[in-house]
Amino acid sequence: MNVLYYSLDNGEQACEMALKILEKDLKVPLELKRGQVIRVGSDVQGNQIYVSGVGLAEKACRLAWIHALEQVGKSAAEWRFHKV
Amino acid sequence: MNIVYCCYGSAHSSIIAAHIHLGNLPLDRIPSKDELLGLYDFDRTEGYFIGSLYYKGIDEWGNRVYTMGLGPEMDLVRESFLSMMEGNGGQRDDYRFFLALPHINRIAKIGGALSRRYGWVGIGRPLAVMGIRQSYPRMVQFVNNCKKQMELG
Repeated sequence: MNVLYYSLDNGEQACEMALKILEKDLKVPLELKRGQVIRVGSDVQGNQIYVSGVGLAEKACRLAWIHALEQVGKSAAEWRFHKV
Repeated sequence: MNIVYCCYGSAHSSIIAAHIHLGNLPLDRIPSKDELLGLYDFDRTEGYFIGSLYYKGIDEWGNRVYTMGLGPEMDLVRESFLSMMEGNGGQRDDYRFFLALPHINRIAKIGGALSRRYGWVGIGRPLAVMGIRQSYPRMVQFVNNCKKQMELG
């Protein structure tokens, strides 16, 4: 399973959440480009953890992610999107 | 290659650009009101579908043509799409985004907003059609420029 934590800022809060979850396995970037989805590691259950910041475009970004996954033949069912 | 014509809501300028690109609208004259209103997707997409990618067809070179509404945070939503795709095995360079919105006039934008954002279709849609027809030569030029850019790679 892939888990994407996103926040309604530039991703700072999502990164903070990833810090808590990943603990030792920490690869949180110092700076996220607006809209960028970054894999930051995997949790103890083996889930791939991603972070992103969506500003004020939460609904649009969620749809864009789903359509992006479709474009590469992957299913959004393999993903969990968590707002922080 | 994938060509994505984008605008605010994927209801007007991107739709017209995609249909010009695909040969569904003429290059040498301004289409009639009925021709524009006869398009299945003109002034149809609802605001809550901003961020969706709509497939429109394949052009003469085999490129897939899409439209996408990016809303007010255009760069952010485009980057969200590309970044998610890239992180899952897709190639960012396989997608070319062309912003159609600047190539329609203010009447078309106001008409589009009245129809899609505020639901005043009776007023907004005719205004959007009028604005699109006034802007049509610019739209054709825009699409021709996009095609040239695609040819140049």
